[in-house]
Amino acid sequence: MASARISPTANLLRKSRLFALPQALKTPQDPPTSRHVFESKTATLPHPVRASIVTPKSSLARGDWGLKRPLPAKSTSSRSSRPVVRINALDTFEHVTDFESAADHTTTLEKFQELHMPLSLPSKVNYATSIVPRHQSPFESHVDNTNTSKGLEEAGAKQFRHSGPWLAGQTQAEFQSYLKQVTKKKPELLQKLRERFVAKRNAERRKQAQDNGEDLGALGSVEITEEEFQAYLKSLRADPFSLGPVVFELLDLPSPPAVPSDRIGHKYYQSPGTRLSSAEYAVSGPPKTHPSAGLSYTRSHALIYNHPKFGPQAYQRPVEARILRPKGRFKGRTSKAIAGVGGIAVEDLNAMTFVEQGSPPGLAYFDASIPGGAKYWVTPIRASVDSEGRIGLASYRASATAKAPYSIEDYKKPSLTSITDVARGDQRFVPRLDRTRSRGGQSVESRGTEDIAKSLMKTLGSS
Amino acid sequence: MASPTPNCMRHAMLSFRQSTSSSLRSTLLRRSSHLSSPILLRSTRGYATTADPDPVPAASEIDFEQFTVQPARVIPASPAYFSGSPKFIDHLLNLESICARYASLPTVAPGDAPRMAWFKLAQFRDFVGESVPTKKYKNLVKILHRLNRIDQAMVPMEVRDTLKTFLRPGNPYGLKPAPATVDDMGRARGRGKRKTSSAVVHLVEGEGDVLINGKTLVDAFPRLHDRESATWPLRCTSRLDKYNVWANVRGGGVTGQAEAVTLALARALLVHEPALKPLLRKAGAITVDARRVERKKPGHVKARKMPAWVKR
Amino acid sequence: MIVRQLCARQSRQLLAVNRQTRTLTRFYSTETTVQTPVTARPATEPPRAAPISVRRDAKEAWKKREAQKQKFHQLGSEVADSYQPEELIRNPPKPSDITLELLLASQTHLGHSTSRWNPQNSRYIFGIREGVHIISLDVTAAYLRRAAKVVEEVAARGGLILFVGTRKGHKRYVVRAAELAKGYHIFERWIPGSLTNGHQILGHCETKVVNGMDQEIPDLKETQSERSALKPDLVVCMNPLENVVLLHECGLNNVPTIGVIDTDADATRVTYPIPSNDDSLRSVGVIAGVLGRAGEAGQLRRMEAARSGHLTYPALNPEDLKIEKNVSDDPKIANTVSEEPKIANAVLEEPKVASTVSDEK
Repeated sequence: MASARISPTANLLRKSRLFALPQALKTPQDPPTSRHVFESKTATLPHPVRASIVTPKSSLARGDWGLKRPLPAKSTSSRSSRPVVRINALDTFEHVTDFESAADHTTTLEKFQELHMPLSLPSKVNYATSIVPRHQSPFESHVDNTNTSKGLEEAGAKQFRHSGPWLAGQTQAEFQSYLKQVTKKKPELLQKLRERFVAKRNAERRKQAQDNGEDLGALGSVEITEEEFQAYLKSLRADPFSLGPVVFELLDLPSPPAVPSDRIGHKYYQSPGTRLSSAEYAVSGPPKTHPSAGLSYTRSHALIYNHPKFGPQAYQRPVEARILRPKGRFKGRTSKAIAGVGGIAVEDLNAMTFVEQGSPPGLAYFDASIPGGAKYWVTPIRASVDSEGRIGLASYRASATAKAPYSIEDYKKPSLTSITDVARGDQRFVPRLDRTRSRGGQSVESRGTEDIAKSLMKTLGSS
Repeated sequence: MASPTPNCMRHAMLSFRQSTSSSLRSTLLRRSSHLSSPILLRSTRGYATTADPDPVPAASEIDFEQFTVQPARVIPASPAYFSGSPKFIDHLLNLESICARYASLPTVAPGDAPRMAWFKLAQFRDFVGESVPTKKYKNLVKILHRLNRIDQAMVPMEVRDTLKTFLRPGNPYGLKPAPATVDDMGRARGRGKRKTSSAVVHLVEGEGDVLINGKTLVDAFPRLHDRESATWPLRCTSRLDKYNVWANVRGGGVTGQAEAVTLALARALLVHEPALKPLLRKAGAITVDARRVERKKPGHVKARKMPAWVKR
Repeated sequence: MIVRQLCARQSRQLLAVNRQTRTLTRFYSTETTVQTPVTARPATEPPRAAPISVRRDAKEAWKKREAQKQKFHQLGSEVADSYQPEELIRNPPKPSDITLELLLASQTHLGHSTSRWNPQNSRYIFGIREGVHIISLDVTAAYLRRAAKVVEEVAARGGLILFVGTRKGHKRYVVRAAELAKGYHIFERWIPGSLTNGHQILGHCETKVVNGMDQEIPDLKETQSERSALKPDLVVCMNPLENVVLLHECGLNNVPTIGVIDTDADATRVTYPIPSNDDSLRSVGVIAGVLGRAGEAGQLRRMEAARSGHLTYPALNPEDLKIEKNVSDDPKIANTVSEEPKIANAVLEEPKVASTVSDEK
């Protein structure tokens, strides 16, 4: 036992919490496009890279975080009531412990958990029909597999991770180096291919025997000569359609994106039916993390929300969303509105039609007159983590029934063009405008009741 | 070994090195114990060099009387000796420990705490006999303030006594000037200064007569603005016709005299009616204008003006 | 200026006019004098402290509140063996309590950035992790125990132990260690020259002559005025990096030093290094506490010996005190003075023994 041999110091250090901190992940890369990407350097990363650290209250008061040196109160305890930090370096040349607040990701996680959303496998939301795809939990046993899981042997089992790389996401250099790796493994790959060929021939033979009504039990295994195998290799080389599935299976590669329509007539290396747990992964690559990313461990959204006064509710309490970008033309293109729900940017699912009646103010165009910025209430319906590690949230505008029990409503703009009852003319009595102006102190309500009383008297008198 | 300090470190190192060789150590210890008890010393001279022919008699009884009187070593009086200002640091640590001990006692707002006259910096330096930096003393006074804020009903005796030691002798805040009163003839006296003028005003209840240096208001201040100024305290409180003013002004120009009368008059009016103070304060009648003409400096044309710069 | 004055006056007048609702009734009346104070002054009462009954009530209420608070704090589950930061001051660990777990928990193993290291410390370093050197815990424990022993022996022999920690949170730990070990503390700044030019810098600080039981002998107080400044017999430095001057002076004066040596410090500057993290307050607290406890044990030993009539250190030479003049006045001292040459001789002999012993070894 190696662990029994190590010194007591090493044993202790290995078990220490500081050493148990995971290594930092790679920072998410910019998309490899020639298009200009506008991103702030100080913006919150799409997913956390380093672990967040908290400390108990009594130690926090002394600045003790279990690190090389106490962290200054000025940027921890005096700035926040629950400071959370992440450590970039335990000690630097300048005798500083490099740390920063990790409140960005921890509060996002807290807000997300307050939404009570289960995570689903990513799936394309069809905006034309505005039908939200069915929820499928990534924790179901037939999809929650990696390339080493035992569950893969079941029929119809899917996986979210393959041992091979996703070729569609590789750069030229990466692909070349991968090719070198593969050429090194040529003998064993050939051996595997031979086994595969034998199995194929066996199956053919078996089928033939079955068709001919022979005794299946008496069948021996097929002997394959070297010439036959070479012929098989040649046939594979000649035909990309049949070579494609063999390559994907031998190298355990995740499925590539669908073949573009203009290539359909030509020859291409066809991929076998995808084994990825979600079709989205073939388009954007297999996920870097587990498809739930550890954000939520609930399997379904089968919850009933209780209102203390009105009892069980069909909808959860709506969430206020800030309109980050209104609908409309943006950089020469029409686009959907983007709202922020609990720190997550969400496209407004309802904003399909061009002209909407009764949409919340600030959604159709930017409106600076709304106090505190434009907001509206939404009901989140679906959350998933895409292959880049970003949270994809879909939400509907909160319906009136969802908002009613909590007596919340969208902000109503005081309309300038509203017509008074007087101007509409559904009142018989025309008030003396000049007189009301002269006595300014009187309240509107009392004047209204007075008018009503007067008109009532008049009608009574005339009849 | 000539150094005055007990050079015991050598013993420490020695014994530490020798901790294994127990026999040597034991002899050493015996030696040191012999050395240390003064009574035994008489008979142990020369023990190390020559063998004693006579058998050593048993030690006599220890004289504890002697032991307590025998000077053993010189040590610093305070644990902060090596910091250079031991007394100050002792005071500081004492206050901090008291502050920590009574931290949970209820406190009052700083304004409600009794006003205490702590030592001024120079006095405190005399008190401890060390040159204490200003900042350090300020920090100490902060602790004093904190202790002083403890609710008066609950102050422990220890805190009360400790705070007392930091008080200036006498009670500077107890000496308040007696409030001015109207004398037996109904006169209130007020004095005021402005620029180089100084005015004394006697205010009596009356019909609104004003005499400045024996002259009427119009004779004393030909300018309307000055007349307005001089009677401003009465005017702003609408008491022009309720009081007679008798003023004496000396020095300065007309404006200065008029405004000196303002101040003096306002102060005299406050003697009659103290409740007018906020009103007069708002009206600017009892605000002292302390500006004086700045002196001329050598090398300057006026107080600050420099001669025009000339090239060569 | 006239215009300005006029404006000011006018605006003031407007203000005053607006406020006329507040003016007193006297404004409308023809008579004056409502509350005019008369010449006869009423005797003013000096402010007195709150009556005793009020004070007692307030105290009772406060006591009740505190008791209730304590009661509430006791509710709930009991957490055993949890780390209480205040315990490092209230009840510091003894040298026998040093465990690797304690040292690990108090972050003594975290060294400096690898680019900051002093290669002399390579024997204390366990490895590299995340860009910092990790100090070996067992080495720290061994050196800490040795330092504790040194402190204990020095305390047992009546030496002056000076605890120095001049960084920002060191104050309480250093003061507490000095309190336990009956030593001395510096938490602000070492005044350069306090050892080499002691008479100038520490000359005005008071000293006292004590007997074997550490009780002051007030009769000898006046003999202390012209003495040169005292020097510590052992210096414990929590941050040697900032106190280079102190360590240099100690070296010049042959004063042994104990220092917390981080991976970037020079271990040869101190006599007894303790390889450990010197930045974490917790590690400094543990080290200061252990050394303070060791000093406490040494002082206990010394007092025990004194109670049985032994001095664990050579007694003061009365010649140094310059008390020959008034010897005749004090019969007790006169008694002892007759033996002073012997004492001096004995004291002089001591280092000889020491040297022979060390040679033999």
